[in-house]
Amino acid sequence: MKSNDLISQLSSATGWDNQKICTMLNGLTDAIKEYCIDVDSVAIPGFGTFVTEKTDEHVAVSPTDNAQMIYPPEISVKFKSSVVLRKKFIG
Amino acid sequence: MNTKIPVKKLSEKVAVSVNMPVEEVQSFIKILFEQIVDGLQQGESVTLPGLGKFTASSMPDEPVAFIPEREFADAVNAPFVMFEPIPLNEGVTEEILDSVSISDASERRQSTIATEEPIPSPLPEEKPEISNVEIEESPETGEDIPVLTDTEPHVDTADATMTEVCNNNNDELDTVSEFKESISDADIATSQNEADIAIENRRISDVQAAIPQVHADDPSLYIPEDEVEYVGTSDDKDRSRFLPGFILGLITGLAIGALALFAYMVYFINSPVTPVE
Repeated sequence: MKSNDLISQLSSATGWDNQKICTMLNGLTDAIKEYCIDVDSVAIPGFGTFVTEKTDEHVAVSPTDNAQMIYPPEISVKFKSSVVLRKKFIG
Repeated sequence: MNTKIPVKKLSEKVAVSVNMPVEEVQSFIKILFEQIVDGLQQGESVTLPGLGKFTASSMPDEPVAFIPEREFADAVNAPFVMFEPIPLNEGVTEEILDSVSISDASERRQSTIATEEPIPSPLPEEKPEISNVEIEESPETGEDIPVLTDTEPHVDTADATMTEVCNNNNDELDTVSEFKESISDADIATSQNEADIAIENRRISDVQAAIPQVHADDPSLYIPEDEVEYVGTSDDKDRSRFLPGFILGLITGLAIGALALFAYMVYFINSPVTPVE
């Protein structure tokens, strides 16, 4: 589903115009970004949690050339689905 | 940092940014993610612009996979985005890296401690040659005679005996002469030090003049004639007083006894004896 399709579906579901939907969507994504940059987690009930995790520096084998590499520390954003979402998919 | 943000707080933040009521934002968030779940359940991947892509996953623990957009991932990893993976040399393991890093740090610390030498201050080193000389003008008692170093004893003439005073004065004269020699041989750097030394020399000459030339054969200069009897230890004084007194008393007693005997002999022998009828 592309972004345009999502916006049209949201517009029909809420009754708002596309511009308002885009404004709300941009505001929401910016807020989630800001919290994640601050290394905070954002919880969406019934869906999941956007979690920021820090990986320490480590030595690992490169999958491309099987050479040992030192990987620098990294802060990454991951998604953890909620129990409700898992139940919907697992059944 | 490291806090879990609830949807209410998220809604309030969005409401402030878009200038809309909080309730409308909360309802929008609910509808949005319901649409995403419906799309995922239909087997579609859903892209949220600015955030990333949600796809259905075959993993039982995580049915939904999230791939963040590049800009979003770089913004979150901003503190470490400049670093890149570095290949290791052959034979180097993680254990070796850990051991080397710890020892390097300790060696670096020891080397910094060893190289940190105290900054020498030239003035305090030059000063002891002059500052250790404490001269006070007291020619009467001869106290506080100047000394060169801390190891040389300080003379206190108040408690010294006659011979000790003489010896000490001789030592003091020697030290004064040595001090004068040391001053003349010293490498004086500043003009202030030269002025100080001139003042000290003047003081030394004054003290020398004040100290009388004492010899062991002439004690009367230091000790008045009235106090001659007080020179010496208390034990010696006691012994010297007791013996003459004892002898004197003995002689006196014998003399009195002899006189009494002589008087008796004269009175009773020479007196006439009257016959008894």
